[in-house]
Amino acid sequence: MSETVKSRRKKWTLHLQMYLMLLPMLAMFFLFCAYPLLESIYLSLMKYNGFTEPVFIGIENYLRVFRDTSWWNSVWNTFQFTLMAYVIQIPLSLLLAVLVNSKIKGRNFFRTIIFLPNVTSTAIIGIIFFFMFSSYNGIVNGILQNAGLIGRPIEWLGHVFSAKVVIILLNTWSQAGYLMILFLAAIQKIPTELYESATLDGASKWQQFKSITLPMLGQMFQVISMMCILNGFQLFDSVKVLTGGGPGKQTSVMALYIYEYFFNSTGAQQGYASALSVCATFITATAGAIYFLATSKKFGNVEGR
Amino acid sequence: MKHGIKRDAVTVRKFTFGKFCSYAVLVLITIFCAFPLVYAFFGSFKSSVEFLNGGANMLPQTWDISSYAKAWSQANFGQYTWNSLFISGMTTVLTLVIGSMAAYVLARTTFRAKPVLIAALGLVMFIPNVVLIFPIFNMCRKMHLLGSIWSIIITQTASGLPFLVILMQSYMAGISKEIDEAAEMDGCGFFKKFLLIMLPLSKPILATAALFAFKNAWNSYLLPLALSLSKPEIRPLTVGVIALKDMGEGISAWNIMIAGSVLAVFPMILVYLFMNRYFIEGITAGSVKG
Repeated sequence: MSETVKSRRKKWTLHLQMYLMLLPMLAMFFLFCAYPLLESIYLSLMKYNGFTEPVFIGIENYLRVFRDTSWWNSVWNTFQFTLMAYVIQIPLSLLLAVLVNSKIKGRNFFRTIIFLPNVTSTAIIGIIFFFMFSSYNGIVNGILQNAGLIGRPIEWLGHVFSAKVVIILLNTWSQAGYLMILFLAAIQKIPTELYESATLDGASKWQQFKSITLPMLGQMFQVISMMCILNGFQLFDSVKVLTGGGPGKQTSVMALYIYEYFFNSTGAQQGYASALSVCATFITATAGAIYFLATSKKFGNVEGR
Repeated sequence: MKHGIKRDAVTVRKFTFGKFCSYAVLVLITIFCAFPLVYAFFGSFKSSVEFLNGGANMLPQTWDISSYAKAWSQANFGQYTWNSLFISGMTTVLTLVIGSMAAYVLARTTFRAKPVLIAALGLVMFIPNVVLIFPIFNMCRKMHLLGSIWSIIITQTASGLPFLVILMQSYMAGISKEIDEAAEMDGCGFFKKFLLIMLPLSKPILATAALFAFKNAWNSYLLPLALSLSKPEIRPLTVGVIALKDMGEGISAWNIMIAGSVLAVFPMILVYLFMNRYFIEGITAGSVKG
């Protein structure tokens, strides 16, 4: 009898300790993640400017979202920038990973420098890019003019297309080294015997890359792609600092567009911003889910799951 | 099929050409990666006039530290630097304390809500940060935290926790349970096991988590921007530097901004150059688990 009491008590103290240790994290999670998400959904049904009492207006905010062409332009820009991760950053970083994995002199040096952007703040580097690409005293125009490639300074951030190019450059700058290290880790996990026997069979480096490296990277591709989608849809720092969404709102992205409705010092519209937020979450989650469903089967086979 | 000798010759030539290309690509990308940092570093030592004149010169004609002096005295960067340090340091401590306890519980016990909780932590990463920023701002107002530097610390901790808890949890789950059981025989309770056994054994992942937390807090922009809108004194460096751009001081503040950028970026770079192994291992561990 006393044994059961003792064990019950032991169990009780275990549970008490368990929940006490979990509690701070749970509190953080509910106060600053779960509750805010619910509040966004609630506010999205309100007309609310942060000062007066919120007024329930149903789905009116959502109807407005559909009509808001500059919002959809921001969504389209977000897609473009995310797509560029696939066109530029992923292939480039894979190439770099293969190169710094080969027996090349100074590979540690290259690795260290190419990864370096990852430890810097994208927002601050945005400022530096802003200086570099400024039209009359930027060093990029300076170099191009000295080399005689351009006659007069290019207004990089003043035109939609060139501003987007600069934003993509900055995104590539800050992402490529990080993705390179991820690919490198995956490449180093591939058993070297595979390459040895392939070399014995007379396979060229390119053939080895195509039929050993690429297929064996399957899962890492999935992780990286997912990361690029998530990061791409959250893009904020580089656009905010470089162009602030301008000229007009033509280079804006989802996160920046929402931010401005939330915190615009003149006439914030938190209700509408919340509706945009809910849409953005939905778009991000859908893109992630579609990607996941489309690829998990294919890459699942490679991993033998 | 092919003629043996001929093919060998081709491979040799290909090999050297390939090597040349490899170097070319690596050197180009390395220059691309280093360029903005080198440019900012030298630019911050140019005089205001020289920096504004622009041109193609990287190196300053005369070395001038007045930008730093101005940044420090006029633009309040001493305060911002201290804020950045305080925010990042405190975020790291809070993350380690709260996160390691939660990770331990998730790694070593089973309870009904555990799978749901882990899934929730994973799904949170799909929510764009900007979506939560205003309700978080509101929450801080309700808790009377708004305008205090702790609002930034606490919310920064909260936003990093889901990922870092999952990271630590998966590492701790990989530590053999036999040691736990032996300690239990010796009469160690649940919490004591955590203090005496789990924490020392998880040192590598704790170091990684600390680096992540510190780096993310130091480089964070959106969250401190929103929370310091009404209170410039609690701004970290990132927000302080960029605020100069939006304040419309225009070109006159450029040299202060470039000095501030260097202050904001180079401490992390120094830490990285000394500890780059930990950074890279941490990144790798995170991706495999996450």
